[in-house]
Amino acid sequence: VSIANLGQVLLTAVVTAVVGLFVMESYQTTPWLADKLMRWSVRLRYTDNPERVTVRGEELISLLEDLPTLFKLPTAAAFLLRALAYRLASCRSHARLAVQRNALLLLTLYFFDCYAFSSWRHFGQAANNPWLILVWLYGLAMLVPLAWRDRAPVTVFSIQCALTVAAWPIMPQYIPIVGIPTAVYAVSLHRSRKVSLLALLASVIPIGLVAAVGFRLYPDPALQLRWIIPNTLIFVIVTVGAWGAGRMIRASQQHVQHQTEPRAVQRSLGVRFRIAVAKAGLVVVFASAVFGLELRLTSASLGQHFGVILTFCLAAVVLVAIESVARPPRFYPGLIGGTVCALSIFAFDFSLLFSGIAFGVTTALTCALIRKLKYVGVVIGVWVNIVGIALTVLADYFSPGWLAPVTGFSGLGFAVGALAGFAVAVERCVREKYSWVAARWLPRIPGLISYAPILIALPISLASPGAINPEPSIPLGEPHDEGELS
Amino acid sequence: MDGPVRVTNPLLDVLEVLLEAFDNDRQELHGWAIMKAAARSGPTVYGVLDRLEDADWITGRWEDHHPQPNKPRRRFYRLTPTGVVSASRLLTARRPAPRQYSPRPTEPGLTFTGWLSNLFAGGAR
Repeated sequence: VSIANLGQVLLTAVVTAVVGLFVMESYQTTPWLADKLMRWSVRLRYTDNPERVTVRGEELISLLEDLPTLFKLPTAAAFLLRALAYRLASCRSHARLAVQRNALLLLTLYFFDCYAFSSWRHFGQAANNPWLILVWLYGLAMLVPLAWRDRAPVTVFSIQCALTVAAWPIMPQYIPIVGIPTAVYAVSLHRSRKVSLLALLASVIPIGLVAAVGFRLYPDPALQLRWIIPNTLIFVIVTVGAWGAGRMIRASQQHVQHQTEPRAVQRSLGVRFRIAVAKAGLVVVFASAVFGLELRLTSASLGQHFGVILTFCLAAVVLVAIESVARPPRFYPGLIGGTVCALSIFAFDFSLLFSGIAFGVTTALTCALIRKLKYVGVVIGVWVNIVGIALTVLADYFSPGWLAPVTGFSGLGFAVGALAGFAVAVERCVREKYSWVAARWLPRIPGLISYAPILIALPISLASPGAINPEPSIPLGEPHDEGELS
Repeated sequence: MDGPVRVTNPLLDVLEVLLEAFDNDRQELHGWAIMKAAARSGPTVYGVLDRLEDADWITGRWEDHHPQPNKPRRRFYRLTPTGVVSASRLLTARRPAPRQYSPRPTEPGLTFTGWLSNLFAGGAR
């Protein structure tokens, strides 16, 4: 045997031994590796179900024991691949929802920001004032980081502060409003009370700078004060309101997470209401701030604009509350119609209000909404009661999908008169349809048809000057039409 | 959609196996037995079991201890009364002539992995 051949033989022997050892070791280590992969796959697959993680974990390990050794690793790998595919699909679904939600939110904020700044009205002047385009672009750039507010709230807050402060020397005419409160809300929602309080304190600097724009806008000290004081108040209220809403929602969410028993889940329904109301309250604060800025507390038609704000807030409150309770989320054309028309009212000088039946909302749900939404505030509560109870009664007596328009008013008194007249028409319908006994006793049932005391408590009478009681477009109170309506 | 669960071929296979076991003195089957009888992979079978458990068509039970020493206990599944009715109705509608699963190893056209698994497991169900 030559030396070269001896080397080849030795090499073959060594390689064979190594491969043999490797195969043997692999065979020995395969069950261990399969066990690890299987546990990992179970944790990945059942992230949202801790109980099933425990059950399936033990069960699938037992399954591996039953399998031949050759199959352990491929089976575990197959489970892992399936779990990864599931998680990937789940992430994609969540990501898609998050993108839609963020796009909608940012567009709304952008609209508010630029509307409060009132630059939209100068749209036609962009050719003469090119800096307007720069302002719009800067406003958009400011809001983009907010898309990451849930992942890195503190960082996003810092960016918002920096951009707001930078806007002071760069854009003398720009008044960024929504960025700081939204970032404060995110910090308050996702971080501890201490961190959120620090963020709230830090927000004083950009808020102060934004409020101080009045010094540059008006040379007259009296005008400066008239601009700065109310706007500073609004900024502070909005930011503190955002912080408070964030803390409240955080506490409520933690409370919901701790509720695992069936009875506790029932109780958490009320907590979800509180979350919805807090969110709606935030919308109210934002809306009030935007319209308040627009009015600058000098408009003669304050009552008229106040009516618009209330209408918008009412629609927002009801919509958000219903969305928080109804599972799965459903589309309510009536309420959305109310919201859209309320916005368009302002643009077209408040000429039309549109209210509608919430499609598919059950009586119990509406009653629950009425009871819970009373806590939002006295004024909004009365509005919700009037509209909600009217909707409740009508939803009881008429088929789903029916729409009740309340049209044609041009002021707060008119609005209340119209809605109250609507409720009175409903009362008349109940009286004629179910006799005076029903009309007398039904209002005493809590949360059902208790509009009578509310109407009495209203400071505005139905026959208030300037109010026009419109005739509902449905044949209410006509007994011979009952068969067709029900 | 024929009910609370999404109907797929693996689901029908698993239901057939469970229904057959139920008809056979209300036997319970563990996961590996279901996999072998339905000739479906583990992830597929357990995905179906998840859906059936969520819909309350099946119920699971841990055995006290494994018949062989030093082996972890197994979880056995059986159809619930609701599951029996629903599965029978579904299979009648979707598969009027039920497939025969046993003995699988001698059937022509059996997959290689199925043959191997039965070979290593002793060919028993």
